Amino acid sequence: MTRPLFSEDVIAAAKSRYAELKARGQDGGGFAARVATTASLPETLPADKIRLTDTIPGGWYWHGIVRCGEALRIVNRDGTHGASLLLWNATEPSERLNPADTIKVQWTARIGKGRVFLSDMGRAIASVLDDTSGGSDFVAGGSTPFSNARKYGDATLFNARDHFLKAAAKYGLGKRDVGPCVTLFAPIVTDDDGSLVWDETADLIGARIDLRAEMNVIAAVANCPHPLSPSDAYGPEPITVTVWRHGSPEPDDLARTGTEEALRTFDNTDQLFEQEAGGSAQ
Amino acid sequence: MTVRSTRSAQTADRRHLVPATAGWSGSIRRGETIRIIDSHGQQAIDTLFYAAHDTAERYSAQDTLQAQGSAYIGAGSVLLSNDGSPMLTVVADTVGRHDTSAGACSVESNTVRFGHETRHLHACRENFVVEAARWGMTKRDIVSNINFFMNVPIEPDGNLAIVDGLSEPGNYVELRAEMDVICLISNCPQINNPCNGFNPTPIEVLIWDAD
Repeated sequence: MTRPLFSEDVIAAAKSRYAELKARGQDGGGFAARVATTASLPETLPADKIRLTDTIPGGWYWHGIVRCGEALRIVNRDGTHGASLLLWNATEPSERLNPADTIKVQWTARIGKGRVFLSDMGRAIASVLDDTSGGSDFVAGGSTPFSNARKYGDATLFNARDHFLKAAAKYGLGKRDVGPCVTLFAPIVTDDDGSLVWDETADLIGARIDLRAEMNVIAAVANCPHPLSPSDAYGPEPITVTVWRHGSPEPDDLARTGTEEALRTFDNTDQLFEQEAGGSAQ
Repeated sequence: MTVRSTRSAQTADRRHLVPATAGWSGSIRRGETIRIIDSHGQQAIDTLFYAAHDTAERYSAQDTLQAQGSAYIGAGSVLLSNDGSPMLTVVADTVGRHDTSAGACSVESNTVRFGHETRHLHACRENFVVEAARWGMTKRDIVSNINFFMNVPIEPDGNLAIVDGLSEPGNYVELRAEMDVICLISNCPQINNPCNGFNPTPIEVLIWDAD
C-alpha cells in the first residue's frame, strides 16, 4: 500500500462525515415528510398563467425555450410509455442536464416531486414541482434507431435520439450536445439482481409532471416509448405540453429547501444569477 | 461473476503507470486489448471511450445498460456507442460489478455533495477536460462514464449510494476493442467518499497488440 495522501485523522473525519451525509440523504433528513405535506398543483392551471400549450402527437417531438421561473407541464392523458427529455442552459448550452449527478447527489434514482434536476455545473437546471407518474428513468436512456430495430424490428420508427438531434440543430447544437437524457413516465426499477425492470404497478394514465426551469433552458421532449416498455407494439399516444408562469418561489419552496444538497445546489444557482446581474441582485 | 484473463502481464506490449489522482489518455486499435489494474484495491477509475474516426461517436452508458437490461458493467458487457455500435467488450473482470450510472466527480458537484469548503479539491471532471483537450474535445464531449471498481448499488426502492469498493489489490478488468477508440481515464482523486477507500492510489494500464 502506498503512503496515504492524507493523515488518519483527516480520513477518519471524512468517513464519519460521509456516513452522516448518507444517513440524512437516505431519509434521516425528513424529505419524504416534507413531500407528503406539500400541496399538489391543481389539475387545471389558471388560464392567465399559461404562455403556450401544445399537443405532441405520439412519436413526434417538441422543443422550446422555457424561461427561468416558468414551468413545463407534461400531461400523459392516455398513459403513453415514456417521453424523453433533454435540457440545455439557453445562455451557455455547454451546461446541460446531467442525469448521473442528479441521482448521485440526491442519493436516489427515484426523482419525483420535490427533487432537483442538476446540470453538470452543480446547479439546478429544473426542479420537480409535482409528479403524479410514479417514476422517471435516469439510468436506461431513451429510444434510438437501434433500440427500435431491436424491439420492433424497424429502425425507421421515430425515436428519441434522432428527435433530440433535430431539436438541438434548431439551436445551433449538434451530436456532441445530445448526451444522456431522462425519460419521464418510465417507471424503471433496478431489482435485487441488478436487472432493469418496468414497474407495472405505476399508473401512467392521466399522469402529469410539472418541471420549473431554474435558468433559461432549451427543452426538447421526444414523445417516443421507452425501449424497456412492457408493450411489444410501437404505440405512442399524444401528450400535452404547457408552459406556464410559476413566479418567484416561496421561502419554504420544497425543491429549494427539501434537502441540504438542494440548498447547496441553489446556492450555486443563485450565485450564477448574481454574477450575471453584476453583483446587483437582491 | 468474475472471469480471469489467460494473458500474462509480462507479455503486454504497452504499459502505463497512472499516478494517484492523475489523468491519462491513449488510443487503442481494433483487436487490441486493454487491461486496467486496480493495483492497490478500492480505487475508482473513471473511464470514457470515443470512436477514433469521429469523436462525436462515444460510449453511451444509457444505451449500454438498456441493451443488456441490467444496471452494472461486468464480464460479457458490450460497451455501446451512441450510434449503437459495439466499442469494446469486457473479456475479463476479477471484481464482478462496476458502476456506470453515477458519473464522474466534479469540483462543482463536490460543493453540492460535501459542502462549499471542498471546492478546492481536485476532481475527475477536471482530469477529463484536460485529457479531452489533447484530442480536440471539450467539456461538451464529456458524457456519463464507466466507474471501474466503483461500487454503487441501486436498490429497488431507488436508494443509491457509493459504498465500500469490492476490489482487492491487483484486481483488473480487461476489454477487447471492437473499433479504434480513444480512452480517457481519470484515476479518481475523490477523498470525501469511499470510492477510493479515502486514499487515492496509482493504477496501471496494460495494452496488448491484436493477436
